[in-house]
Amino acid sequence: MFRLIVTRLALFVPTLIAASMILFVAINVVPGSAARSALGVDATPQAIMRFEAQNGLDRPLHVQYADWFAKAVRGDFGKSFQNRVDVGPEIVRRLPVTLELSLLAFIIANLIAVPLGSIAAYRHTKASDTVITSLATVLGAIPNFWLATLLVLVFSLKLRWLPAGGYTPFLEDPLSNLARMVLPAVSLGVVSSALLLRIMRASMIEVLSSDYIRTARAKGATNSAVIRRHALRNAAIPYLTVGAVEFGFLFGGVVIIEDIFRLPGIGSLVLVGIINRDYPVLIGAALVVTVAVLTVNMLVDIAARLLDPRQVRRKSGAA
Amino acid sequence: MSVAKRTSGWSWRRHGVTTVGAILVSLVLVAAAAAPLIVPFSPYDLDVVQMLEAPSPTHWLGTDEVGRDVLSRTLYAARISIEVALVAVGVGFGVGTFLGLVAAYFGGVIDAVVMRFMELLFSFPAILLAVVLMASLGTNILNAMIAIGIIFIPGFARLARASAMDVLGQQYIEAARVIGMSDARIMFREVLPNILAPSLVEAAVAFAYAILLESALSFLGLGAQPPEPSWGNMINTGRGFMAQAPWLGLVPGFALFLCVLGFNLLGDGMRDFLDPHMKD
Amino acid sequence: MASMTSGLAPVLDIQNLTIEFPGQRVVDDVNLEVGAGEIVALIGESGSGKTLTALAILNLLPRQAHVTEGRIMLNHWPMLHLTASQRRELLGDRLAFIPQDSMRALNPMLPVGDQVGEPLVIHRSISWEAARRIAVNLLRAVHLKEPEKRIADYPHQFSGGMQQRAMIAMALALEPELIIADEPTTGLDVTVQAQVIRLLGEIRDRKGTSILFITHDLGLVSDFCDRVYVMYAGKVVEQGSVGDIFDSPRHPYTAALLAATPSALERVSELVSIAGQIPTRGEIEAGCVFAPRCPRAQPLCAEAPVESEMSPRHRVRCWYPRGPIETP
Repeated sequence: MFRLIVTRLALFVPTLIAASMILFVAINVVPGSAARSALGVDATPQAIMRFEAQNGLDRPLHVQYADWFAKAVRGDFGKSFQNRVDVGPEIVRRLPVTLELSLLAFIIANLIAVPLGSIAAYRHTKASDTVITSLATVLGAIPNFWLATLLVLVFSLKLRWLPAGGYTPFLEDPLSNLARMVLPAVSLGVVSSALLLRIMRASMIEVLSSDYIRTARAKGATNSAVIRRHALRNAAIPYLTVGAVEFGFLFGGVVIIEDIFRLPGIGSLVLVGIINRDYPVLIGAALVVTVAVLTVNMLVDIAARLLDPRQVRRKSGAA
Repeated sequence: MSVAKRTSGWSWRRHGVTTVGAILVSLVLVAAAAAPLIVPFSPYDLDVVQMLEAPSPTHWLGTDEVGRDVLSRTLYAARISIEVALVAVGVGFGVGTFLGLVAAYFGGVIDAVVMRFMELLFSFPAILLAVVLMASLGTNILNAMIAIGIIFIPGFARLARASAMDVLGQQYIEAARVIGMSDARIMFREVLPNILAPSLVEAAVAFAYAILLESALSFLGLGAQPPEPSWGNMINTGRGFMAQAPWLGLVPGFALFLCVLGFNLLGDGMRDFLDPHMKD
Repeated sequence: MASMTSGLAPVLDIQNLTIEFPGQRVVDDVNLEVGAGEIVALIGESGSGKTLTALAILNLLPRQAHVTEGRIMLNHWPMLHLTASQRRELLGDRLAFIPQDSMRALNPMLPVGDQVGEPLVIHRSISWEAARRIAVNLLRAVHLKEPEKRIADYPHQFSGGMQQRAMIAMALALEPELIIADEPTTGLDVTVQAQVIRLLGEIRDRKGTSILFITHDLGLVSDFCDRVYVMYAGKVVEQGSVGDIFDSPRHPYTAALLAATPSALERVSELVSIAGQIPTRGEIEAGCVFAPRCPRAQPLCAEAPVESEMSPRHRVRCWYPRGPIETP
């Protein structure tokens, strides 16, 4: 069992490093763009050169990368081009917001996908299956930012039930915090749930046609016991394995959703970075989001494997 | 005694759904292609007198904050979406399929390196990668096309490689090698045509995703720039007028939704038709 | 209806059972009985309908299969006409099922002890802890070594023979009146096969449990079964005591099966090589189902033969049954 976790972790670190390299290269694809963005279109070549020298942007790319990475690992993400503020502390401040949003969205997505996917699979070839599958198809096509706009229209403007944006820290005022998180989390979670629902349904259909389900029925188990005790556990593994990627992508959505609802999280920091062409901010925030996504992928993958006794315990010898 | 399940490739239930998809897609394509001919107004004409008009017989979908006709802009926005999707999917499909083919054909180190890189690229959330790429490329439509195209490369590469591995195990490839056909010819004349089918299904689905991504980028102000109408930036503008003129944000969003739904349904139907066993 | 073997009512009484898939009849007018304490063999190649017959008793037929005619009585319970909850009460308690592929019939996610004890939890409402303790005894009863340790193991940690014995233990949990064993020895090696069969015999001897033993291998049957039904293409073509069937098989198919079965010493493969194949479901025409492959076929065989009684408990469905002492 430990070997499992250790192998995954061992692969994880190089993956992170490689990902950070890709980010770094992606941002620096066009040389000089950082300086020009920071100084404006009519910056003189001398101003550009001075800026680059000041910020170490004239060194070879791999040197810049090594330097940036070494500092990033220690938590030093440099200073914003805009206002010379340290990026690192800003990221730390914003992290809880994004984590809370992602977690709530994750929960909502699963709360929809797992029961509905199971029901659809259980009633495979009947009307309710078609209804649920169609629902999933429709939900999956809704752009999450449009859904967000719709939700704001209905729940904030018309019904006045929920605020349209902003953030209150949980410890300050839990109710206000949750009220402000509901619409963003729903926008993010509902659209993700569509794909997860399909995965759950497919996984469950496969499981329900297995021999061990027939054995359980032959023992006289009730339908709910069959699903709870026998089916869910088996369906969970492919669900988590395949869904791990989707769980990661849920984080990608925070970039837009945080912007719409004015949540001060890492996602909106990414946008701040690009809109202001503030490269240290952008790459710092992008790196943190990427690390979060890759971490979630890995954790879910490990969890899926740990759930499977066949992976965890080895065959005993005797007959 | 086991019973073979009859997996129909073209049952009526699927058939109906795919037809809906095909209809939606056709509507969008027609709108995109014919927009300049069928729009009642120019999408750029300002009319300060008629700002924020509700839908009326003159302006079927109302006007926006500077008096432009929403219907016309919505139709024109279809052009942008289709254009971007075409280029992006083209790039992704072309480069990705090529890389996957090469990786499968040559195997070994090339395969390992290429596919590791693809996997890595694949694990980035799409929006993030797009944003980061456009930071240095510049934020306009063309770069959006390139960025989205790059995002699609790993998906197509994976698919092409998997299909190619299947094909490469066949007899006629061995035969071609024996008679001395060059690697390039084998790859492009023998292998490539046989791996296209699943990639085309993927292309349909990718089309939907490309349109979604383009809209998201425009929504954030990173794609189509005003005054060019894109569903994304229209929704964004509409956000500010939700109270007075909700149709501003709702109409383009609905158009976007129908478009994405159409391509998704079409892709699903194609998948069902080409390989019924992939479904369940 | 009185049993064929004693004056008492049979434990299992199947009458005129007909099962159809859309457009195809796969089990046709089957009559079968199992008396108290009897071990009855149901023999046939794959495709003969034997497994479907068994699944019909349990109401676990595949989705598209439908019972279009017939009655199935388990003691006094009309199996085909029970409500779902009535059936659930019987399954696992009065009637148990040992399926063919024990590896796949066990849930890979649950410990074996839990699965063996599950019928007790379902039907006697005891705690899982108590069920596991009883499972230890059940595993001991099927001669599994170190049962206290084995209950915590997962199915993949068991060998094939151990898995099959666990399935038998599961079937025994509530001392059912009838056990349906569907090819319980397929895939096991010869010594383990013999152990499983011996175990089933023990169960009948000690508890008086009736067993419906489904198999394609006639060779397994002669030692421990009381009566035999031979099925071909959905019909019972011959039925009788083990002595009747083995000493004087009357149906050409039975005779061919016997001739093709390797002796107990040289059990090689399961494939019974008789010329031709069981007709696929679409191909069955009117008339005797075996006629196309039958070396004795005559023009009359174009009419479906009726059952005739060769001796009090020995029936055959053939116009031209073999004589009592013909060689194959």
